Amino acid sequence: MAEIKVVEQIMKANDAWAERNRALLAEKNVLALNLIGSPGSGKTTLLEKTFQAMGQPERFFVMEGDVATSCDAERIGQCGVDVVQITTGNSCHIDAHLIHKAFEGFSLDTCEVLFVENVGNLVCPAEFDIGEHAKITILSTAEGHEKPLKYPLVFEESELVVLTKIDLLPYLDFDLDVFRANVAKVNPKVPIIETSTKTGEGVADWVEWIQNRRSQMA
Amino acid sequence: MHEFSIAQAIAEIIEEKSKEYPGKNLTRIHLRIGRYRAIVKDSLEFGLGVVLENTPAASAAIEIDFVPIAVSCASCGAEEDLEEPFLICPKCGGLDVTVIRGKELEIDLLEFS
Repeated sequence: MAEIKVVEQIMKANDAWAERNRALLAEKNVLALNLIGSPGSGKTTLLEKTFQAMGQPERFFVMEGDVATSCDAERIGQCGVDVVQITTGNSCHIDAHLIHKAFEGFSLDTCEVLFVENVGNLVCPAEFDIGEHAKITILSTAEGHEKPLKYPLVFEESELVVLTKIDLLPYLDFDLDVFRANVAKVNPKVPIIETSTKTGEGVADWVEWIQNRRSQMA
Repeated sequence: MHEFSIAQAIAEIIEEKSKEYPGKNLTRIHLRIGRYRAIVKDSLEFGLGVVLENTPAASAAIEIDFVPIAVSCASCGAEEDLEEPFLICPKCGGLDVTVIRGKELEIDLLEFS
């Protein structure tokens, strides 16, 4: 009988691709943000408003992860931003190798920020390092204030939480104070930006966060 | 759903390691998985059953240790396991804590015979 003590990282193949992505992003001086949120949390709409607010679309690159269709990529493309649709088929997340392949054919020479819009899901995308600089959780008010407690890993791993659809608050039982307290329980250090793409509230704060995060890289 | 991706990643490592033990079958797999990972034991075992079917590892016993989430506290220096994933020091209530365990996704041991 041969017993071998291995201690192998199960994700090592993914993590090796993530390191390659990190090296490429460093070489091109591109900030990579991994946006993680449920289906319908408003990730794509937030990106559309971001590009409208920031202008100069050549500075941005988007990878759109979806199980099927290229609807989101078409919407982003209309903003004048380079976009790649990553269709994952049956898979509920994007892994580092899919990201690596998505860089093919793009020079990134004018790119400052890469946004990866992950597949709508609060569980699996949190597990996969794709070589990003920061994970960002996007949660809409309609999903409920208890979500940080139900999905602690994604909130713990995030550098920022963006709450969307705050214009809906008058119609929902979403308690903003309870939400803030729940986020603080699972990650006492993470900032929250509260936004509405309908009214435009908070979008400037989000844009400022991106600009500050990008300037921290230089 | 991520259990299946994780099962596939485990199967790839088993295949690679099996080359070092020609003519032997994998009889035991021991995994260490952090509580943060939200891995459902039954789903992972099912996924491993699917990916290892018709391989020399098909009849291996699968053992999983779940590792509690633990933090170290910058205020009082305690290193403590947490009952729930709330980042607060169980000793002093401090919030300046660092996660030190609970995100493991490791193969700890493979037994060939």
